[in-house]
Amino acid sequence: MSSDVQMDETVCLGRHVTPHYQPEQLRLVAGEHELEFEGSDRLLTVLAGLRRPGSARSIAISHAIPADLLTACLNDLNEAGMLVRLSAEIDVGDVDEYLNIFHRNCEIRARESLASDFWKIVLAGEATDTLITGWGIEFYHFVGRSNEYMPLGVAQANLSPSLRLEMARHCVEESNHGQIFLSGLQQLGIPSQAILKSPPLATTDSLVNFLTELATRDTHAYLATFAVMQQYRDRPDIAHFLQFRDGLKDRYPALTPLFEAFHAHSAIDEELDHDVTVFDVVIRADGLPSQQQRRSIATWTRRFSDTFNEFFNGILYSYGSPQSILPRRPLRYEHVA
Amino acid sequence: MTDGVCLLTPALRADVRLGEDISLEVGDWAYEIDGASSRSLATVVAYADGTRSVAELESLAGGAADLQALIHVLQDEQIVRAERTFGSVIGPSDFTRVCRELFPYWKRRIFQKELWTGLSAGTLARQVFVGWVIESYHFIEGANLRLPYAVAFCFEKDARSAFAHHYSEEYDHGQFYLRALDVLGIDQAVAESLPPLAATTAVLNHMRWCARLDPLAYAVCSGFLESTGEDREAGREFLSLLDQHFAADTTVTGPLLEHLQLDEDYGHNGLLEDTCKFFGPLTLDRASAALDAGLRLVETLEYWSDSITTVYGADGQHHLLPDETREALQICAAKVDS
Repeated sequence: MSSDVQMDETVCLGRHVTPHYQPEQLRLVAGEHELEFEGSDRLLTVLAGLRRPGSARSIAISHAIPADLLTACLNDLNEAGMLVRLSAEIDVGDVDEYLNIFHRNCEIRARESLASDFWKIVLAGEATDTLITGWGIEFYHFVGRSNEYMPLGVAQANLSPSLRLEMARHCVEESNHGQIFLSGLQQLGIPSQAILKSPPLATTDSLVNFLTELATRDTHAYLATFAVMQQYRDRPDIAHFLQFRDGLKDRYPALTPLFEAFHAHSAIDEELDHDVTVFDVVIRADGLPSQQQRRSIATWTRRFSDTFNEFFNGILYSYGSPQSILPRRPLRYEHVA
Repeated sequence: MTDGVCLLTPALRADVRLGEDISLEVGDWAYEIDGASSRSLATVVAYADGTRSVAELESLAGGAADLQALIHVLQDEQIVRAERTFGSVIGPSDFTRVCRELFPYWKRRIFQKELWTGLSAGTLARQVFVGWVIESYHFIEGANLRLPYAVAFCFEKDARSAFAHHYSEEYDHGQFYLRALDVLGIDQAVAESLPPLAATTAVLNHMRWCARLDPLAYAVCSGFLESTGEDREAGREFLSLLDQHFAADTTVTGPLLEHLQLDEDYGHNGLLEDTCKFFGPLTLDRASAALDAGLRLVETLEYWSDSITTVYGADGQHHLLPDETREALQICAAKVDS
């Protein structure tokens, strides 16, 4: 299968893509990327409606537009990182091509999270200190509780001992990363005990519990979710992360220790080569998964992406109000007895 | 009463919410605080978490002269408490009594959500009603994901038997919702293929987490869930309103009424007491952790309610729905149109 989008492939637009439709012109925007299309209203309507999966051939027939023209548009969308190649991920017959398409799809899923209202507000410099600090606390919970799902993933892995060892190595390397965020939050003046006792949001619990359950259920799908978490298959150089950190520091200077913690975590992950996911190692060692396994992987990475989006939505909902109290406090019996 | 003794490290109750101006909301009560500065109140709300002394809080409030007096007043109203660090035990019946006092407040929090008020009033789009039936099916059928888990993880023999007995009376209740979905045009094969919303999965996974944490935590959460249906008359009225607002010609909620009656016949509202009596005297920390797990279930159910309204709503984010669910909604709409 070529790397080009084929006429019979099922595809859909990434959910981070926003169509801006005008007569005879369509602008598709995804963060900093934009694509403009000109053509018949019929073609433009079809492109804007690609949130629903379909193949170029079937859409072309039902809308009476040239299939090769539509396929060319889909390839432009693919080049711009706006297209999820749903069926190609299942049907491709080669390990390298599978990993290429899998990771491209995961990068799009990751960008969907970054297109959430939470990130729009944060990156625009419009977040309150409470919202940013709440993000820090919930991220602390998420990273700290990796000690719930990562060890389970290792203990339940249906892999050879040598491949399970790769999982174990990753698990061990991540096991104390919560401390990085705890330290950053302490430097904002929040006592460590208050953070340690604070209950996570329901949407943070949802994310951790999702991974815990998947870790015990499907090793390949569980490992695949890390490709969404890590956002990039080819990690940008350190300058990219420094720029990101410095941008946040400029917008929210009082919260610098938190951004230093985020950056320190990214730097450690780079040093430990965490961009080469264990999933890739397993696939290259064990060979191309069956189509049924690949369907399961695609389903679970999609659901993980939904849950990850909800994680950020929950932070905005709970900490975005002027009346938000943080850190959250656990309910104690003596409070209510 | 506190006898004028100020707590060394005061802690604000976890369920306090800031109100407008200088006021606090605790449960059904709103406290307007005369004579206190907004700065002192803000300091207590932000920092009185049981880890800071009164002197530290005064410093954080910029030396506000009214802070100690404010803490005294809040102590007298039992809104600010001391975190006890020494051991003390709680009898199971005292524990369940406290749960029963909390449950009505937790129920009101959930049923004040737009999902429930909108379904009762008929102000939500029909696809939200259909979405509620779909997600409720997943939730009820999900008893087979959470209850046997709770049985397996409960190592107290008699409490385990109580959970197992409860499971034997719950395991097949998904059928009532399948019958309701069939009336709507979604047959069993389609219903079983529909993926749940992330929020629905979150509720089930929270219950499984509770089962792993402590059977006491599971008992609190399960007891709360059962209590949400204990007012059978209100339940019947709610289902009748759903039929009025959303059913085309045939009753959709007939099977759901049968489910309600069955739970009433089983007497499922006693599960909390039936299990807790076997756990013996409880430490303060164990009791607190279980209550906190219950409060986190409430928050998860609030998230679930909001999610159904948002994702299935007319102006909502249908693109967040799985394709299979969107197709099922179209089948339901087509059935109404025909």
